[in-house]
Amino acid sequence: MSDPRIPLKEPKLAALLAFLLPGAGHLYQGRYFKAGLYAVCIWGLFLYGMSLADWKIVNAPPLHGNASRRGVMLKYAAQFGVGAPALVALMQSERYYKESNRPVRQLDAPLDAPFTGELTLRTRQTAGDVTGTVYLEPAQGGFGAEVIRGRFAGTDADGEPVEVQLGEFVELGRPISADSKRYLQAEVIDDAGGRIQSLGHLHGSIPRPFWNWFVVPLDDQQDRELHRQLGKYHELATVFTMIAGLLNVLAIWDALEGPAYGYGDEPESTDETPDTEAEQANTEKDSSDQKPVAEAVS
Amino acid sequence: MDALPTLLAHTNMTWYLLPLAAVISLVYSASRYEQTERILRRAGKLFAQIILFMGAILALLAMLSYRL
Repeated sequence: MSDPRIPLKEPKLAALLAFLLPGAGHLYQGRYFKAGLYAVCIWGLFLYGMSLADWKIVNAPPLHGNASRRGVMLKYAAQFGVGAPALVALMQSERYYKESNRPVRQLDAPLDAPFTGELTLRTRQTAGDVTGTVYLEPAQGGFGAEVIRGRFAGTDADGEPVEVQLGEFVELGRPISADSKRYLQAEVIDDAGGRIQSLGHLHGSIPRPFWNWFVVPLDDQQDRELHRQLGKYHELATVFTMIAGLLNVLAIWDALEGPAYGYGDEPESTDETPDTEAEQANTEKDSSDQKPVAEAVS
Repeated sequence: MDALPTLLAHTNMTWYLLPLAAVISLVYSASRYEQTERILRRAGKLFAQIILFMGAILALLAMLSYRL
């Protein structure tokens, strides 16, 4: 239903904008009250749901293969209505399920990153928390294999400076994963005198760039961990984001076709059941039209 | 529970119904009419209906589970 008083402009463009960013379609049409209402309500509900679940509740299913993760399809179908974040999740799913996204034991270029974790040295027979920076670079290992070597420089829990060599076995978590921290484990070595000797172990994490963890699909372990961490709030976050997506479908339809019942200045009695009322009105009109004919026959 | 905003971390889940019902009422009513005043009035009415209905269900369940 469209009323000439409602400026729909280019309805299809408005609907597309309303899908991409809730409220944007109505803003384009100059329907500012509705733009604000839809934006605040739908974004508010969606973002609050996301924040409840540490921004990990939108998980797009894989587009090809990996049937075991297709269970998230129904949830994602409802969340899809919210537009841009759901589309980003779909893009992240494509990146996440690529063959090349796996734990890294070789580097193409040197990597420096802040590190927090635990250092275990055999010589001290202790393990302690350390913070600092890791400097990693590609290197040639035994038998010509490509490996990662580097060093860690930082401080321990007491503030004492620590610097160790890393090598032989260094592994980094996959580049893209639904965790803002990327794990790093490495063997601590001493290569003085040309002979490599293992001294201990360093394990912890380096930060992952925002676009490498935001709305990336969870693996089974991360999913279980999120359930354990959130309990019933996991369901609440799911419901909030799903309802936000479904409500935006109404907003998209409003941008495309205008409000379902009319402008709003119709009599209040038509508020609840406009179709029935309209039918009744039509019937009365028809009967009044037919009345003279019936009278003429009698 | 670190992920939850501090103020709402220990809130009874039932209270989440209020903002949820408010949002549903507003968006649904806005998709029915154009006039601001009509939208708000209808949203208020719908909100009250949802809360009353849920309240009635809550009361019924509480009654059924009495001394269980």
